[in-house]
Amino acid sequence: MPSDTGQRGQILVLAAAFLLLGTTMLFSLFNLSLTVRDKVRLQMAADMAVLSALNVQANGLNSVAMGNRAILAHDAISAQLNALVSQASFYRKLMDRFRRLVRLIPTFGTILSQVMSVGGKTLERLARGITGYLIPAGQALNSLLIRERGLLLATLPIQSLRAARKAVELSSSGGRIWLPTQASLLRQARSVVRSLLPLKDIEVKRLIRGTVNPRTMRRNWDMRLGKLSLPLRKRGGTTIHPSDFRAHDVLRMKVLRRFRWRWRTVLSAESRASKFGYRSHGRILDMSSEGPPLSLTLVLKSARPEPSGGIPGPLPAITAASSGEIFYHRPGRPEEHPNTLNPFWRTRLIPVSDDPMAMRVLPRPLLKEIRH
Amino acid sequence: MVCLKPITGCHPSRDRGQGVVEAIVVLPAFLILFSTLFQLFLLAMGQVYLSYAVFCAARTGAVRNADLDQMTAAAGLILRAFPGNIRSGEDRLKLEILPPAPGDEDHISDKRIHRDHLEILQVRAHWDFPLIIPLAGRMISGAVGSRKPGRHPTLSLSSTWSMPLWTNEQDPENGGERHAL
Repeated sequence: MPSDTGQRGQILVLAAAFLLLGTTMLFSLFNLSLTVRDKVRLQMAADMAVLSALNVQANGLNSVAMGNRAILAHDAISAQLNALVSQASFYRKLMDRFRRLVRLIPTFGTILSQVMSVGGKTLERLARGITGYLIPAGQALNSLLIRERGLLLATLPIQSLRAARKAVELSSSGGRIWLPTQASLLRQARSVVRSLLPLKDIEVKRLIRGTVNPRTMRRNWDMRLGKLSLPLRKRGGTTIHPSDFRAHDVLRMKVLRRFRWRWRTVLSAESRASKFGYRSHGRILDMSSEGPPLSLTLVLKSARPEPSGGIPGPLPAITAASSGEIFYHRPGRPEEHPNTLNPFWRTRLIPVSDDPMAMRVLPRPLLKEIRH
Repeated sequence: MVCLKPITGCHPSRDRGQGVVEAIVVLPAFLILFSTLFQLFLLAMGQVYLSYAVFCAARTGAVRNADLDQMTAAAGLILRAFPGNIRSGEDRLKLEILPPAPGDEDHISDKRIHRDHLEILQVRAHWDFPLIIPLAGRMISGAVGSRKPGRHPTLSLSSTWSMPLWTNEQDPENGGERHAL
């Protein structure tokens, strides 16, 4: 046996220690990078979840706004069609009056009178026919829009939650929305829905008046000869009743009666939208003045999957919190009050500390951990 | 140790102290190797910490209107949690917001940004990482060629992160409301 047999393997001890230390460092570094990667991914997933949930709500509010505008447009069209009937009737009557004079014209008088008679009647019939078809169609569309809006608002909380869950599912493996924040998401979405209240009749009238063509609301003319005003004028317009439109057109002439000049109605026509199937003005929903809580905070928890090749053993759960809000911003008009008549609802992320609800919902240790 | 004489003829008294000499030669080499390994490990950990710190800074900036003070504070909080004696995350850390496009530096004035022109917030951080392991630190900094005055040699780590800026609209300074209702 050689004498150095007892010294064999002495380098092995150092090499083993070196390898052990190196391997431990490598694994802990690997573990740390995985933790950071998971934390970043979870934070991204939390952001996506908050934005998805809020986007559903913002889109819902924008849909309500679009629906409101469509309802108003249908009401305005009904008012305009009703006014068209009144005007057609007025001009038919006017042509009937003129026909008597035209008949006196030699040769062509009779033909012209016939043309005027047929033309006036056709015009009125056409106006009535179109109105009789389009007003009920508008009413049907309005009721369809209102039903669709009802369905949208009824499912808004659950749709928000589903969107948040889907976003987490797609952008994080193993991440789950913390249950208390799921409940707060449902509560927040419900309060957004509850904050939408029907507008008062007077407000609806104001909106319809603003939507309808000004010529429908007032259609007046006076007869003038140069600067000389003739004693003949036409007055017309549309009155908005609580659940109807009344259009009227009147021709007046100044006559001397009891030694005073007075306006006397010589021709009048009237039309009511209810005669063509108009039932009521559409229900417009707007946001209550108090406003709902528009901010939302979600917390994601992830029991990290064991990294492949990492140190075996239980790994700590990681959490991420994110807050966002829905806000109203009309480009070019930052001062406009939030409403559901214009579709300018959008979403954005906010610091967690800016959400008052988060301070109540989140546990203190987590609040300390949140840095943004 | 090599024995020139026939093996059987080697006298045991001549081998005395051989282990000590070997240890004197081998142990410092191993010590340097260990410390270099440990320093490299700390450096790699520092890079991972810095990446997360920059992410937190960018995330903070994204929701806090690119406020550089708050971003630096958020990154500093992460670096302060670095194990060991490597403190002072903030004073060794330098954050900068990269301009939206080359040549658009005039959009950034002091710590505020003209938000109309910036939709993506790109943050770069430089961290003068102190190489605290005595010999290994000097060796690594010497090898990299990074020598800065101070108690410990340092090595500059850097990391970049981009994130959409969420507060470029409705800024109170621009006349908008911060909160919707």
